Amino acid sequence: MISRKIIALFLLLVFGFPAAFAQELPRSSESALNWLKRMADAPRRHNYSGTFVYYADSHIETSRIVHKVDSISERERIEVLDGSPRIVFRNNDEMKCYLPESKRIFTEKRWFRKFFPDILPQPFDNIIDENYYVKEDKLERVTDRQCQILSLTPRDPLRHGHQFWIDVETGLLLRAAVVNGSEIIEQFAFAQLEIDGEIHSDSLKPNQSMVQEEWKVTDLITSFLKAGELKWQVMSLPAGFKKLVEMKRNLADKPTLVDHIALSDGLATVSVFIEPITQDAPASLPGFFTSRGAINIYVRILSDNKITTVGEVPLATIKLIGDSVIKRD
Amino acid sequence: MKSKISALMDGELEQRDVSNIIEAIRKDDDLQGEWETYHLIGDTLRQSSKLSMNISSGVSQRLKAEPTVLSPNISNLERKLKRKVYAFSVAASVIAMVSAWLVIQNLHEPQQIIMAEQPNYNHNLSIAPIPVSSSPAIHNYSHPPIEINDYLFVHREFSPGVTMRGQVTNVNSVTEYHERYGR
Repeated sequence: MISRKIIALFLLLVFGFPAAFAQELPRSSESALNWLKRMADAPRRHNYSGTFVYYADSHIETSRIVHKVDSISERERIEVLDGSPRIVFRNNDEMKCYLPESKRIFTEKRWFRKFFPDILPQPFDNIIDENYYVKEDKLERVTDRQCQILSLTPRDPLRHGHQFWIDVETGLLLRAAVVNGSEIIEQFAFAQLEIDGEIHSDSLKPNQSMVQEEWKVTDLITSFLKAGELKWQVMSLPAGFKKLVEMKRNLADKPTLVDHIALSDGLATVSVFIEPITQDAPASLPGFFTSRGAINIYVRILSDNKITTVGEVPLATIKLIGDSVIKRD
Repeated sequence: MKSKISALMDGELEQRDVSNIIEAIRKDDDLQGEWETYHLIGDTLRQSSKLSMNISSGVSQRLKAEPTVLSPNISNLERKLKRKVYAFSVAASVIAMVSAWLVIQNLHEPQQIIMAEQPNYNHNLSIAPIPVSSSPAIHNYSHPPIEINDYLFVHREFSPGVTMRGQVTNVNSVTEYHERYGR
């Protein structure tokens, strides 16, 4: 009789624990996902100009943004106002980055759409709901506008959480935070913003001085590759991650091209760079690094190549991806 | 005198003599011996299981002769051992339960382990993936790879918040970072 009771207790403990701790998050509600859709569409519907700040690890960087959209194109100018000047012009997915101090221009294609406040993937699909539980939180005021807070809780420990402050009137993202539990890792927030105001097309063009002087132009992309063309591959992607693109990169001063594989889970992105070890590019010791905000870095060596994995995800996820890179036959 | 001691024992002595007799017995060792002997005789006659024998001197003699044993108390040790074994068995069952829970947890949530994409790849690879073991060398060196800023620049697509090419690096090795920020 007693032993039967003990067995019953044991079974209760064994099967009761998972039920209590599994925390199976429900599907995100339709209205919460509608907020995300509105947020993803807003930059295609509204002009805006303003100033926003980036804040992480007690570092603040202010940027000025001008965004204009019409039936044929979407154009943007973002100028970093603190530290070394940097101006990025975007015409749809073509980007040019001007560095006035070194008189250099880098051209690049936009892959991830991660420029604040336009950070959601296009077209917007349900990959976010698969990886995050999206929930409507309270209302809060940001830059004198009423905002709906959305909280995105990761469904597994492979990624960080997010919080979005969405303008109730226009659906524009006014503030975004990457969180680890209750701790804010990095955030972007508008300090001043004008929506649907008049925008002169001059403000979206480089200044005269930039056009007249001789600037050195570097195209960061040399060739896109079809799937399987690259001799490297990420053998097994962690749950929820998809491959965005494979390409060969021209990293300015390097004699050889660097292979680049980009992955995303809808919000977080991870890049894998593979570079042969040469005399000009000596081997670095393998190890883990961290940069500002949510960025984590993992370096490893595989058959005379440096494999560097970089992304806004926890270190364990970076390691998982970095370790599963293999060379094709 | 002996009759008076006997009368004292039987409670038949005159009240006024009692204190004198008791005082006399206390002072005289022989009388003490008599007193004890009478008690022993009385106990024996009454067939008492407790004989009134003065064993104190004998006991102290034996204690003096007893060698001092400096070993731990065996019975105590046994009890401790028993307690330890009990603790171990409790710990073992807790571990068993937790691991059973973990196994079930993994069965319940396979997405945490199962990879999303398993492309067909040849198992007879000439170059097998190098398994970076549990300790992929977290060196305490302060020189991050020189190309890391280029990588970050490309990865962030010029996004604000990232230091730019040629600027002072803000990349730290993880150990260093932990020391600085405590996370």
